Amino acid sequence: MKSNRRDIVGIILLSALVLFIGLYETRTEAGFSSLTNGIITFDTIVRVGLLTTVVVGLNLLMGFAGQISLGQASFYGLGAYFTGILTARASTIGLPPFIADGWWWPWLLMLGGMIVTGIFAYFVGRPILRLKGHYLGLATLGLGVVIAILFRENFGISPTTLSLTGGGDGIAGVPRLRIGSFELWPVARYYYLVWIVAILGIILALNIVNSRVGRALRALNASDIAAETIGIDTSHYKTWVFVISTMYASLAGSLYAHFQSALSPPTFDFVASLELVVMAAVGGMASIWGAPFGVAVIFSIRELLRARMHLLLDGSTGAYEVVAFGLILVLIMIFTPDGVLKGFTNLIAKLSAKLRPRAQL
Amino acid sequence: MSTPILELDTLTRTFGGLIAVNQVSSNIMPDQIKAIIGPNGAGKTTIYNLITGIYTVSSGDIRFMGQSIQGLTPHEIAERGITRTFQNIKLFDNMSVLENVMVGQHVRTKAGFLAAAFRTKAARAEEQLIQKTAIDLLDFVGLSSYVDSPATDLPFGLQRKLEIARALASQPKLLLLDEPAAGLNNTESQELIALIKQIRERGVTVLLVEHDMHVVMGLADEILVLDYGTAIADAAPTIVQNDKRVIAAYLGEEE
Repeated sequence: MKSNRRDIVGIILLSALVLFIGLYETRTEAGFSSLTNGIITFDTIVRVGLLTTVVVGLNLLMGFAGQISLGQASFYGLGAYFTGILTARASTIGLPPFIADGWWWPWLLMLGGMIVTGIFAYFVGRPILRLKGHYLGLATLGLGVVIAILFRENFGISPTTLSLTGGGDGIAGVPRLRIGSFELWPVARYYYLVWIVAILGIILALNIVNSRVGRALRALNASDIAAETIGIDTSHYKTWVFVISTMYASLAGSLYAHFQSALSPPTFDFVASLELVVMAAVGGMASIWGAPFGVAVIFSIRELLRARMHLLLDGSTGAYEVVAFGLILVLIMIFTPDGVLKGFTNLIAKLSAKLRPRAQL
Repeated sequence: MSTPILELDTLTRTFGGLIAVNQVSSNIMPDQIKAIIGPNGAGKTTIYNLITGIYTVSSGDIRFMGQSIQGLTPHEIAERGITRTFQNIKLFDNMSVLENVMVGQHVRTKAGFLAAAFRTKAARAEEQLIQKTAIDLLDFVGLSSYVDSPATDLPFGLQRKLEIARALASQPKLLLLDEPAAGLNNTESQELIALIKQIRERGVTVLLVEHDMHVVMGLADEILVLDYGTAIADAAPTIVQNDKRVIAAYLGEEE
């Protein structure tokens, strides 16, 4: 199929770009950030990879199945805290050292975090996903807020008895990942892991989208009733696509924990959830490919403002950056309502159409 | 005499104080084309919504091939072999013509999330079969030249045909058509009549809600006439045409 070939080209291009940035970072003296005058750092590229994974899941849920989630950052947090608590707090919980010190343990936790988050999402999702539209948005928002508070409040356990999440201080000292004795660090090594996961996530999502399951998701998005009467178990598909989207978030969360090595609650709060939705919307939700674009665009704008805002406005503070950021978002949504990716491809189509007619005559 | 494929047994549905469908009993025989007619608000579409499980039955029963389908969800009913079209066409507007028919085969296919994500051999083989079946069906309804168009780009009459193809894709034993001729011109409704006859030849029983009497008389083996939710006639077209109560319902009572 046509779309299939385009996807393969996309995967190849993205992989090449990832490889290029990675090699540039390790093989040149100045490193990757010199390419952008220090505005966009190599660290930022890793973060783009982490959130791309989350937004790919969100795109499946929102763009394809049409079910909104305003609490996705909390599932990112579930993965992160699952990993953080069971590694950095291993001795507090009383995990025997031969487990906690094993190189395989954190990898197992990544998988475990996905499964636990998925099971949680399944039981929460079944009742919540009966709601539609704004009501579903509100329910997921509430869920996200509750989970974020549980992180901040140590799951309601008195921190003097047993400190799991570290409350407002969070968790420090999450170890780096290893394969045997090979440490996936410095960051240039970890970078590859993050992006391999992101690209695999994109491939799996593309496969789902271009299948019987993907059609069922789009069908229930277009018309719940028509989908049901054609034989699609809509609540089954809504629940499972929600579960899968939270598993994407959880996996990225675990990877984030090992990357950042420290966790604090604001990373996973309501604002973070909103930002994920903004990234999905800016990239374009109707395509899985919108995810890397949306995340990269948002990060770029923010970093650019942070580095250059003072040139635009003398003595400007962080508050001005937020204002400019908001304005830019408004402009993006006005001029490319279907996301920057769609806007970009439309522009190319228009340009090539302008260049072609002469040749046809 | 063979057993009916669908039995409506004193079927009743109330909305608050309003009785939308009142103790309607009727049988649909296999390979029959049966029409349901009646003035606006007579309860025709409500009966469809009851048969397909969109509404719950207030009292009475619906049996499909001898088994009660009351209380089943719409997708379970579709799996048993009943699918429908809608009066105000409900195509999947985010899909191509082909994909609409592909998704129609959902109940007869299997690939789940894992098989799809990892593109297993079985899933790929199934996908090819789905595509082939869809193309065959588009051929059958005469839409083979529109395969890759977005579904909503089709002209109105063709959208109806596409919706019928989508419904047929689930291999129904009973097909419910809700005003398939509404908005069609003369040529189009002639084509529709021919198409519905062909569908019957494929071994699909057809239930038809229709206002266009020309289409009804050209197709129906039996007609169920509803008025204010009550069945006032249920017989062959020639008998129904001369039924006093039917004439009264349509033209008004003589003083």
